[in-house]
Amino acid sequence: MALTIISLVKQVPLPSEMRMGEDGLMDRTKAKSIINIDCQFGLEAGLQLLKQHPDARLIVCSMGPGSFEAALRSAVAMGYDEAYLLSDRKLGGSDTYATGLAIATMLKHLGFTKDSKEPFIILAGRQTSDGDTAHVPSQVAEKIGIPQATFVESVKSDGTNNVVAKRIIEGGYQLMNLPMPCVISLTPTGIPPRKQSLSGAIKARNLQITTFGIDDIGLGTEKIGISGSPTIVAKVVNMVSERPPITLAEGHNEVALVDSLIANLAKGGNVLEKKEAVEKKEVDRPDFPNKDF
Amino acid sequence: MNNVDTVSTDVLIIGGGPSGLATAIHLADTFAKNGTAHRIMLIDKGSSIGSHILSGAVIKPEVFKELLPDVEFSEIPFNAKVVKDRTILLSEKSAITLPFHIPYMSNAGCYTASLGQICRYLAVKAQEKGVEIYPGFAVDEILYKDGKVIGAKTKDTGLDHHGNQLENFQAGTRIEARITVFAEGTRGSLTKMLIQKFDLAKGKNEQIYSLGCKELWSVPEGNIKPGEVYHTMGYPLDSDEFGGGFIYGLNDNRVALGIVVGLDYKDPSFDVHDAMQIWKTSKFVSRILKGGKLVEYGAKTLPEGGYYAVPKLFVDNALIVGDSAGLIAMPSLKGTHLAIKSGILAAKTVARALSRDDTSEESLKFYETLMQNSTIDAELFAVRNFRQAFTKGLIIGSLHFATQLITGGAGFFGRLKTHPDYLSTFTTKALKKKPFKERFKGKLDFDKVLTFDKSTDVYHSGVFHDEQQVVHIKFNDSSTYKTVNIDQYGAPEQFYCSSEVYELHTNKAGEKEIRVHAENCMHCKTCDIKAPGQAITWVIPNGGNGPDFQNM
Ligand SMILES: Cc1cc2nc3c(=O)[nH]c(=O)nc-3n(C[C@H](O)[C@H](O)[C@H](O)COP(=O)(O)OP(=O)(O)OC[C@H]3O[C@@H](n4cnc5c(N)ncnc54)[C@H](O)[C@@H]3O)c2cc1C
Ligand code: SF4
Repeated sequence: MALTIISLVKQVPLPSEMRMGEDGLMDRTKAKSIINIDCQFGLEAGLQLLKQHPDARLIVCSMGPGSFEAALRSAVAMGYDEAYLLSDRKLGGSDTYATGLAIATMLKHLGFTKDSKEPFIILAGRQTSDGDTAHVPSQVAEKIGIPQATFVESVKSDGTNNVVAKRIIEGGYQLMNLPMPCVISLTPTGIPPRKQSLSGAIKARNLQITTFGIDDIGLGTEKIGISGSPTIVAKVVNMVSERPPITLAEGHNEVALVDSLIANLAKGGNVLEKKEAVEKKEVDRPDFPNKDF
Repeated sequence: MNNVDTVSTDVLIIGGGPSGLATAIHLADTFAKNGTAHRIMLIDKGSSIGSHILSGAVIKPEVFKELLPDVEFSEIPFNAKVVKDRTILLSEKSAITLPFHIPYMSNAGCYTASLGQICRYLAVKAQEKGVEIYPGFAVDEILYKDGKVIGAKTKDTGLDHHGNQLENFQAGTRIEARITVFAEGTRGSLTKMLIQKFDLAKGKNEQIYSLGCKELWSVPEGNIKPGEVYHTMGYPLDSDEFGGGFIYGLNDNRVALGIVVGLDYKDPSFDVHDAMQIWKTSKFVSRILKGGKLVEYGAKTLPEGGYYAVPKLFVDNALIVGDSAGLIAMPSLKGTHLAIKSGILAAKTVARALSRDDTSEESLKFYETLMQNSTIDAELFAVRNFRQAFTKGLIIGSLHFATQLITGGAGFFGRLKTHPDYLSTFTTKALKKKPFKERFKGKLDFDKVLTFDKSTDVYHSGVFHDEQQVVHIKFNDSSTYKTVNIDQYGAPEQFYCSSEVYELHTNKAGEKEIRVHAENCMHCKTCDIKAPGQAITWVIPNGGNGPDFQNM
């Protein structure tokens, strides 16, 4: 039976243009958008699996505002076939728990359940650059009730209904054999995402994206949105680095670079000053006297 | 695996500058008027429309009324109407305003603009009219069948430096088209192949080019008014170097400025970017920039050969428009209105050909007929010998030009010839005058306030290239490269390149070699034009790569 490869993607602001809103939530209105980098690696992993399963059906899913259609079209331009978007105002403010639930509900609605007769595999990015939690892939797996492997660099089909996932662990790799259906989250260290093809871009331009609201997939309002999200943002802290600013040595070749480094060192300045200030502060603190042991 | 997809269209337009967009818009309008349905596809290598567009620009507006008859003129994002128009004879410390306009150089009735912004606007209009626009794809191959053009193909991506397929290889797409319109702008890579294959420049003058380096600045209120236009002659150029500076006042206290220098200069160490920095230190220019901030940098060449260098512009199933056709009017440096006009005429030709179901060369010859009866021809013919005269230097050039004015463009002889720019470069030994670095000794330490080194400027272009691809600079004969280009000419590419792509490096064995930093490339095409012995071919890199101009 033909395999279905499902990629989950999120559209994020270009990391260099990201801003945090007053309320501690991300302000996504102003920045240029891209597909989250890790999700792009997930998309590529799906296209690699296609080499082993040439008749596989490739679908891409996302949850978010209508503007996320751009990300779905980009995925189709890379080589995906179908696109689904879960978009509903009531989902606004959902945390990772609520998001995992909502996406899992959409996938189940599309027929991808743990008892599904046809094999499928869900690929996702390890984490997103605007949330960085890495929760959602795991939440989706839990809610559908299928196995998962996270932090995976590459995934291959083993010819049966299993896949072999190469998972990054401290100091090395772990090879995991998982039965399908399963969820795999991909690190941005595997095969880099391919570029779009013109034929793909033409397909994407004419593509009809299926958009669901929560009513369409039978998802109630209790467990979604701000009120349905157990996460509480207790406090937002603006981290100010204590480290003195770095002065970069500049130069187009080795000689210029070393000259610049020497000139910077000769100029000296902020490095020592800052260090003194920190040390001084410690001396001033009465309950942490600098002891001589 | 790796099957190449094929798509088909009625009309394929390669390039989304003013010429390509005008072709698309006028075609869509004509099809709509005739009640015919045809597919029009336009492809541009920039990541978005406008991202590879760089111009002055002071633009003649009339042709926009012809292109967009139903649009309120004020809707088009021009900047300011020209309110002051001066030609200045510049020296380091002084600036003399010429008491008259050099003929054909008046800018009365023109508007300042960012051509990139205008192209973005035109792209929206074209899309509303049903044109399919695909930015971010490099078209790098012409498709032929039985020796005739049948379309083009986008570049394969996912290759390593040696051209081997990587795991993320994505084959390009074949686009089969009934008619292909080449609108690639200056020194079009495919146009160059087309001209060679069909010998389209036979009996014509060699095309010659200038390189323009441009910066966009934000300056304090009052430094310059919107619509103030200055052209400078003289400093820092010698009398045997053709070119000058431009300073255009824009709205919101912005100013576009730069210099344009003929690539037929002799000194192999001449550096247009650095010459521009020196030009900015003149009293006249620095006063305008005082207290301001650099916003963007870019560079591009422009074809200047004029009337006698325009190649044959039609073959079976294909036409050439805009800068690729060499349609720029000197000395006013204006090509936008001609690019648009040629697009309109090409559209008329294509619509007629499709309606007769005859896209043969014979049918497309109609383009030439339209051109001959149009303002383009008249405008180029009047100044047909202008640029050639100046290949002999400013004084002889001026004399020539003066006689041309009296004789209505003919000058002493009916047609003055040109040589390709790379032939004008002298070897370091043969150069009689002081090389660039000596000439401007003490002026080449850039302060990063008023003047910038190349890498700082390049940073302000938003340039980006994929790491994984074949280096898009091709050395045609690496064996002679060292003995000729490096040893005899002193590696001129490190100087003429607008964006520090080439670095002369001495390796451990003490041998000089060129290192290529292709990721800096501004797509100006100078190396393709100026490398001694045509030693370098500029190849189109991955789609979406290159500069990311916002308001150039
Ligand atoms: C420094 C400078 C100053 C100028 N000042 C003025 C001025 O003041 N007034 C004026 O009227 N004119 C001016 N011009 C000239 C004017 O900019 C050009 O005549 C005009 O831009 C030509 O339009 P075009 O459509 O032919 O080409 P372009 O505007 O160059 O557009 C070509 C497009 O095609 C794309 N392309 C090229 N090859 C491919 C390919 N193989 N595949 C996909 N895409 C491709 C390019 O990325 C580009 O977007 C100036 C030019 C320069 C360089
Ligand atoms: S490498 Fe060639 S095309 Fe690129 S910026 Fe340099 S001279 Fe221009």
